[in-house]
Amino acid sequence: MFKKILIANRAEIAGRVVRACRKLGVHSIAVFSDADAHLPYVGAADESHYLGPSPASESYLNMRRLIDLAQRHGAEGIHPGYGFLAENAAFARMCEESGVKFIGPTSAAIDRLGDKRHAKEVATKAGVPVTPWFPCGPADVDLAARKAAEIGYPVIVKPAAGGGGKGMHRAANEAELRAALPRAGREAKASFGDDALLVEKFLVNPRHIEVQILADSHGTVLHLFERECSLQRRQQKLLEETPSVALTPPQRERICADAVRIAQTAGYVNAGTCEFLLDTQSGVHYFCEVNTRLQVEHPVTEMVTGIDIVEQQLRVASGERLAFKQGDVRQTGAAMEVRINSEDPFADFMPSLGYIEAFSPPEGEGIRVDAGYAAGDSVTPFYDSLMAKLIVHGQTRAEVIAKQVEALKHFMVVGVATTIPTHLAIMHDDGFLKGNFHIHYVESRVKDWLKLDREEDAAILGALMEYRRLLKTREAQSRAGELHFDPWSSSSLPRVR
Amino acid sequence: MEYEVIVNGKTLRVRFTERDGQLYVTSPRGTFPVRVDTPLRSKIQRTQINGGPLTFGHHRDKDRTVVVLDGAHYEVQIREQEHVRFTQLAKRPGAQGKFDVKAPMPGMVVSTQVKPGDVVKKNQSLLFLHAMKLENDIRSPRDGLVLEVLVKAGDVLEKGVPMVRLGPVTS
Repeated sequence: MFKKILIANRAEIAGRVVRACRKLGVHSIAVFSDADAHLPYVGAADESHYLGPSPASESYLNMRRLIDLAQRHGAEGIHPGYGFLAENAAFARMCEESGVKFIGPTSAAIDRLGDKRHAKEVATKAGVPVTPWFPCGPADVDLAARKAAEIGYPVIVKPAAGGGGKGMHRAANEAELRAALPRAGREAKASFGDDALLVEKFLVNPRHIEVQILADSHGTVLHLFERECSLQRRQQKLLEETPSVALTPPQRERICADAVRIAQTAGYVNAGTCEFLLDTQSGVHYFCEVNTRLQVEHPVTEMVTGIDIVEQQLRVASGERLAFKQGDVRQTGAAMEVRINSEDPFADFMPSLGYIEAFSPPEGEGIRVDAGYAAGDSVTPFYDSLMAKLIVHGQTRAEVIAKQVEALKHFMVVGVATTIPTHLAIMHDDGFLKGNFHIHYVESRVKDWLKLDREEDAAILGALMEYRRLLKTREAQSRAGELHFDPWSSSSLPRVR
Repeated sequence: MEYEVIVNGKTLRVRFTERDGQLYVTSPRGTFPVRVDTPLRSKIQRTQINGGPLTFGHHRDKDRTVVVLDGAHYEVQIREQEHVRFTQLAKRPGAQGKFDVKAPMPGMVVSTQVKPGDVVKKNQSLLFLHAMKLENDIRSPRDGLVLEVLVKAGDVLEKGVPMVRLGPVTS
């Protein structure tokens, strides 16, 4: 096992990796940009170092600097988290060449699978169906228009590198495709440093189902079952759960076996995820891509299988064999994760930035919160909007949903708007409760969900606090001169920082 | 004590009275006993309205008050009743007047979609603002005539900076 590793990421996922390190007795090094200097993960790590200015291109994407820091401070490995350099083959290769272990697949595997174009070829070789597609550059609009006409609209434009929904645009006709290509190219370039794109046939109302893979360097490839990630908005996942209500036991067996076969064909090592689109009418699943990294939504799998995926990543990367077999991996109960993003659902999900006045996550049996921020931190415009993940585990899906409602109501964030109201609405949606949804379901329903219907309560509570303040002021005035301890007032409490 | 509270453009009257040591609140839906419990932690408050427990977030700075209920931020403006009559004459932005579309967040202008003289419809795209790794489509909040485009591609904006000035559509 490693003695010391560097975590080339930030916020909640950096904190998550720190916890895995602690569990294994591995010394953790956090790195931070100007904007992140005070976030909780920096203090949680055993050691922390300044990386660079706030823009990601000058900090979390600065490959040379990350490797220098790792070498200078004696880190034997680098955990990339997700996003940033997690699926960057050039970075993995730089790590390999500098003798710092990249905690993830080999650069060759990232090249083969991280690039969606090659991944489709691997899947075809493994005998897994893929959706019709073609590669193209952001400027190849005429070529794209001709080929898209062949495979038929609607189509979706995706960056060939990277994931996470960035730079993905749907086009229903040629005009939309022509508009989408340059925009997708710019976003791909900004997020992943590569503007290569691919255009793919867009299935109507499929479900997004993915399979977690764990593979060691001794030839063992296991799956940790599926995650249902169909609830998305603008190709960004909002909520993930396992098991998926859409799969029958034989379908589950087939999709998981296909994922294992793709990983085997690619010679994959470490944790990865095979994403599929399930055509609910035919019951056929089509391979989309492999995410050659830890996923944001990995905790739901951990909750039902009891396997710590980050721990396994560290074990596999240090050369250990997986200590369990496929037959030992079971789904127990159900788990659901909701993403608490700093976005205002009442203003078309605009990023909500600024100072976090209060941050109080729920606690309880079967409730897990992976948070990147705390009260007193600021959400800055430089990175993605994920503040925290709320994960709930229970015996059944119905129990999980009931627990989510209570947990969401007690998740208090003040100062920055969040997606909590969206999730509360989802938990009461009939289609969601029955399990009848697909990847466009959120967009079709979101307008009906979001209602600010507690205006009168808000008015009463606002006025109540104002009234109480007035009474306190009057009381203070009448007692002027007296030394007096007021437990209501935060200023009379000692400040501990 | 009576307050006039504006929330989401609606004006509500809220009155507090004390009888026999019990505080009551009167709002459009009726009069109910109300109790304030010890805060759970800073800015997170517990109350009971008509016996029903309610946890909410509360934050006040110099010109605004925010109440967070079921995860939703409600911005409320609260005025004591005696102050109301002095401020009632204060002008409101008229639907006919000039109106600036301001940056809803800090970000960089990717491209502008309109030019002075354009007539825009509500929800029509005005410009793209790059923030938090996404290009955000900034749409017009109302119908209008573009009087001025105050920013250009490449400009880095603070939140609240006027970007497009709209005027009434003259037929």
